[in-house]
Formats: sequence, C-alpha cells, structure tokens
Amino acid sequence: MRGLALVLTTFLLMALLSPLLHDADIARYVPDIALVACLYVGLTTSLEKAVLWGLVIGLLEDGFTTGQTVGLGMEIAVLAVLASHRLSRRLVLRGPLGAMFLAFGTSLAASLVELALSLVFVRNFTEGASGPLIVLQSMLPQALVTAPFGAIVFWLFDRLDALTSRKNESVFM
Amino acid sequence: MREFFLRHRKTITTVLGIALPLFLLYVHGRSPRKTTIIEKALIQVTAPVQGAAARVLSGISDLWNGYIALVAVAEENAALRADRQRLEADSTRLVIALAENERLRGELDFKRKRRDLLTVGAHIIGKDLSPYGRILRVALDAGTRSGIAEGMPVVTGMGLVGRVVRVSGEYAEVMLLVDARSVVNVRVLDKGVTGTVTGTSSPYNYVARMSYLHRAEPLEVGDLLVTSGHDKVFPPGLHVGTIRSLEERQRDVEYELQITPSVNLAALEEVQIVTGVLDEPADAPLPGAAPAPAPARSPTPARSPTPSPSPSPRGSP
Repeated sequence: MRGLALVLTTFLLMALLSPLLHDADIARYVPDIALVACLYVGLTTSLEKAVLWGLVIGLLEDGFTTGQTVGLGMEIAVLAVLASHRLSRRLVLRGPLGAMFLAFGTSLAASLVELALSLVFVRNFTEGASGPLIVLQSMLPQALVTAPFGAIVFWLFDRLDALTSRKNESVFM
Repeated sequence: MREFFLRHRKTITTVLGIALPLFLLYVHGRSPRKTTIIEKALIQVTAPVQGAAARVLSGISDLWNGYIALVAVAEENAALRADRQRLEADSTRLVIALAENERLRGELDFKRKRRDLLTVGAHIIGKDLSPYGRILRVALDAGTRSGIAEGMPVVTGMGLVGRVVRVSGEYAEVMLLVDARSVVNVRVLDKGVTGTVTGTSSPYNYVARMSYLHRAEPLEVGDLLVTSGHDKVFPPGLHVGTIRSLEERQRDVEYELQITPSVNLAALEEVQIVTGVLDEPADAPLPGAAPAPAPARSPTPARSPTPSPSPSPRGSP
C-alpha cells in the first residue's frame, strides 16, 4: 500500500513535471524526480521492496523520457535504490539541506552511470549528435535542478508516509 | 530450494534487480529494431496520463492568465494609458512643430523672393476677438526697440496682413486689412484695373471690398490683387487678396467688389514687419544679416492710418 502510494505519487509528479516546466519555459533541464523518489524508497524501505519499486519507478521514467532506451532508467533507479539502502544504515539526513546534497551528488553519479551504460549498450549513442558530450554538458545543471527537488520530494513522501503508515518518523530526523 | 531463496533473497533480489534492466537495455539498445511490447505498454500507460496532466495544467494556466493575472493587466493598462497620453502629447507637439515649420518656410520663401524688403519677424502674442470669434486686431512681440514704427506694413509669406497702428518698447498693435479703417491701394494683377481695398469690419467673416472707377479689362473671380505702391505706405507687389464675387455694387461713380484676403487671418502665428524698402534688392543669401549697403527708405510715410468708421471710396491714384 505504502509503496504503491509512493510509486503513484512519483508517476503523477513525472506526468505533471514535463508540461509544467514546458509552460514555465524552463524545460531545458528537467529535475530527476524518479531518482529522488528511488533515494527515498531506498532509505526507507526494505531491500527487496525497494528494488521492486525502484524497477517500477525506473520503468516509468523510461516511459516518460522521450527517446530513452528502455532499461537505462531502470538500471539507474535500481543502483540508486541499492546505494541509498546501503547508505541508510550510516547516513542520517539533517533537514532539507542534507536531502538536497544527497540528490545533487546522486544526480551527478547517475549522469556518469547513464553515460557509461549508454556507451556500452546503446548502439547509436555516439552517432549524429554527440550523445556523450550532451550528457557531460547537462550533468551539472541537471544536478543543480534536481537538488532542490530532493528536499521537496522527501518532504512530500514524508507526509505521504505519515498518512499511509500513521508513523511520524522522518528521514529528515 | 525454498530455503536457499530465503537465505539468499537479498543477493538474488540485488542480482535480478541489476540484471533485468541490463537485459532490457541490451535488447532495446540494438539498432535497428522494432518497437517492443514493453515500449508499447509504456506508451499506453504514460501517454494518457501525460496528456491529462497537460490539459489540467493548461486549464490552470488559462485560469491564471484569464483572471488572476488580470491584476497585472490592470497595472499594465494604466501604464499603457499613461504612455498613450504621453505619445498623444508628443504627437500634438509634433503637429504644431510641423505647422510652424511650414509657416516659417513660407516666411523664408517670402524673404527670398522679396529681398528688397527689410523686415523684422514677430510673433502674435495677443488677439482681440469679436463676439463671433473673428480676430479684429493683433498684438506683436516687437516694438520700437526692434525698429518698429507706426504705419509699417505687416505681412506674411501669403501676403498683406495690415499695418502697425500702435507701438511701444516691446510691443506693437496691428490693424488688419479687413478693418474698416484700413485702406490699401491695389491693382489687379495682369489686368489694367487699379483701386482701393478697404476693410468691412464684418463680424461674420474676413472680407474686404475693392472700389474702382472703371474696368480696362473684364475681371474674373479669383483674380489676384496686389499692392500698387501708389499710397507710399505698402510696397508694391504684396498679395492682398482675390476677387470673391463679381457682384458689383455701384456707389456714385465707383464700383465695389468683395475681396477675400490672401492671408488666413484666423490662423496668424508669425508675421514680418516691413521696416524698410531697398531701392535695389540685396544679393546676399538669406537667412543672414540684413543687407546693409543698399540705401533703404522707410515704407512708413507721414501718412498715418486714418480712422474712418465708414470709409468713403477713394479714387485710385
């Protein structure tokens, strides 16, 4: 129930994000909501469930991202879930700033993973427009745009958790 | 077997979680390929939701732009109103400047054509109006300090306006051509007819009348009247007016015709006062310094304007 609510919320956020940013005329760099959602899921859910929801969220991201090879978003989502799950034992987020730093760093890492996976698996990645260059150029702006959404999505999912599981624990501590 | 899965479920989940996307990536990363069933399913799931979200946001955007953002529109409207008023004021100033420019060009042309005349420019600073809005006499911003004297002719590029009747240090007053006390000796251009033009002081329109003894040639409506110079007050060749109608009225031995002044007296803004007449026209280009070498004579003779409320016809000299 909780995982489904998180996935549906992520799904809605991703669906709203594209037209919202397009209307606001800032669609060049889109915050990676799926990545932030996976971080939250990894931090707050058991490994098996986290991987499962990570796969679903990643698949949805592949569906929403025009032209993205199916599997790329899933792989990044699963890796993000695994990393954040591993971190959850050692990491204590202190307020929204911690969530922002986590989102920023993970976004940078995700871009590098995306680059590596694309180079290995996507045959036409280096053809025509220079794919690697695009990924590298958009890496930092993408991370900067994603960072504030780290705090926003974490806060939103915290509220959602409070509603669905009636617990008051917060990843923000 | 079940025990194995339970014991190693984390490892198995992790491996499967990593391997499944890699497999999908491998399958979908090949080129060229057809759209897979997974891609079709994804499009089926995401496209309607994204479309609905776009419609919802579009509705919100329309609501915002149509109603809530109208607060800003009101401010913008006020700013635009202010801009429009400023532009209208600018436009009016421009029209006035253009009209003034046109008039001054006319004055300059007149000075170029009549280099024999020494003139002083002046602005109209006051107008005496009749109850019907007609200008009866005008005040100028030039007086004795500018060399103005009583009786001096006042002209514009269009023709004769009248003559100076009163003058002080900085101001002068002009009796218009259409004033009943004004008398100007004229001749009909290119016709052998001379006579006098006197004002009518009509409260309704700017009209003068021409009196003459006989016609050497038939006159026509629109014939141009110019000063003859015989009265020694007005230099010859200044446009006075045109024949308004050929309805003659005989008075004793004289005939009278109605004349329309050449100058639009209702729209006077700037005039030139003729302060002297050169015997030989100066060759110096205008505008510039007044031509000095040629001897000048005053156009103002001893004769002063003769006030006569009902002027009797005067014979042509």
